[in-house]
Amino acid sequence: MLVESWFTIVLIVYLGFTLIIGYFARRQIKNPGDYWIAGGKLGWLVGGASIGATQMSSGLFIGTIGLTYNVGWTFFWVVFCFPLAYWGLAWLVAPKFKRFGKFTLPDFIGARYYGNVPRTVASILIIPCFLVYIVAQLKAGGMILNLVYGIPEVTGAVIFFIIIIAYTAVGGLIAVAYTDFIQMIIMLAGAFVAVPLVLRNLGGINETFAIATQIRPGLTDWGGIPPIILVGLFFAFFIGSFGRPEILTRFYAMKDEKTIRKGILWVFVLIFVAHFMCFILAMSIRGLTPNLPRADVAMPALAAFFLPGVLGSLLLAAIIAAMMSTVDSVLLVASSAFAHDIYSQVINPKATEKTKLRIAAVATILVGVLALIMYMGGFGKMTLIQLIVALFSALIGSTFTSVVLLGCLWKRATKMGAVTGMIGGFVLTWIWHFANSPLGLNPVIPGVILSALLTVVVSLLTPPPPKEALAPFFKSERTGG
Amino acid sequence: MWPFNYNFSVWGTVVLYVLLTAGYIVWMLAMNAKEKRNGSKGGA
Repeated sequence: MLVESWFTIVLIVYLGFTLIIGYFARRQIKNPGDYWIAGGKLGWLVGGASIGATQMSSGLFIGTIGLTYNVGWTFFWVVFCFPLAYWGLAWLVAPKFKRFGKFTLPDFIGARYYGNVPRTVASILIIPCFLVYIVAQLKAGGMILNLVYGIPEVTGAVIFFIIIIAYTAVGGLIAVAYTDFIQMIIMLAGAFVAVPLVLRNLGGINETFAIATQIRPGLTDWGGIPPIILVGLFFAFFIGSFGRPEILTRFYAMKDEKTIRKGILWVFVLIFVAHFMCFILAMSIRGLTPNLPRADVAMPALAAFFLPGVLGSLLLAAIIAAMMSTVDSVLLVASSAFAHDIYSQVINPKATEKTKLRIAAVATILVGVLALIMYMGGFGKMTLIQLIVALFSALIGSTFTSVVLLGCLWKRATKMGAVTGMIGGFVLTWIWHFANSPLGLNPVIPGVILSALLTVVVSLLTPPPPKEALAPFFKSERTGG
Repeated sequence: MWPFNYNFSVWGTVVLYVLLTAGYIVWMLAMNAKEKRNGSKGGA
């Protein structure tokens, strides 16, 4: 049977399954807490896999593999930013979030920075950041359907968009977490099956590396990528990881701090296994097809043309799973910024539970449509998917990381400090990006420096926060120490 | 043996990741033990 036929079967079974999960998740939802944070009851296995699956977007299966195909193994050094950031999160941020026990990042910002102004600013800024991320994922989905069926990329993206919207809008985080879990299994299964097969084709791991470096010297040493770009990407992903609302939300959703720490260990393992296999695949693809016209098609091309039908389909389904698990989480956070943080907290705090849930579903659809319009308008058309993901990470990092970290660690951080820090970081990152990264610096570096400086300086120039605002986050403020 | 027949840019990634994970496990166990001693779920 041809890869198209296998892929169609695998895809229908998989997508049907996600919709069924969405339906059953809906039946478990009794209130907004169930919708946004799965009732705060996720264990380490599902919670950790959900963080891992959200982290590993199609940026990994298409973007990372594409970039590694171009620059070689050295790009693996960027991967270290994830475990380091998650360790920092588990240590410094997760306990405060879990104890505070709300739903979203703006909930934290609104409470820690005592007011609706910082909350609303955070909610508004989240949306454009996530639109960038969703565009990268839709682009990946469209590219796969184009490669397999020959349909236009835009049509492919629209098809995925409709399916993801359907189960996310209906099932909330319960659906997202459980589909993430299934998607993680599919991703790992796809990679586990593909790696031995391609290595056998090329004669083993040493031979694969030898062939790849013969074709392009520098793939196994420091010569593949300029150090300033490598360091810039490291910081873009590292700093971004501290402020990613869709990951921070998982800390609210997991049972307790011990569960979070165990879940993060699980994330360490998943990140290593998935990245390791993807890097091996990237080196193998260089050996199998040395001259691809576009690095981003490396992985889909391997699955569609070099693997047996059923295995290739499984791998393509893995990429789709990676893409969907990220879009659903991101959609949920972006829509929560509107439905929960702006509508329920600022516009209509007296809204009934039913109205809040209805607004949440409408917001999910609205945010999705905005992303689709941005994609169809040609945003990121000429850029590698990994670089769009890096831009998203830079935006999130510059906007939220200093405000989250200073909010957790520095009692003197004030409302106006946070507001100016978020806006300053966000605006400078966009300017730096559109100015084609002057001095070769990744936009996250000037962005996060400005954000931190503004937060600190403006905080010192404004009156200190009231004791009540600090009490939920600092033990000394509760005990009077 | 792979990855040691390549330079540090390759084998360093594997070895350091394993060490980093081991470090995290030690920290996690220490935090769990500290919480158990304090009889709470941690102090934010």
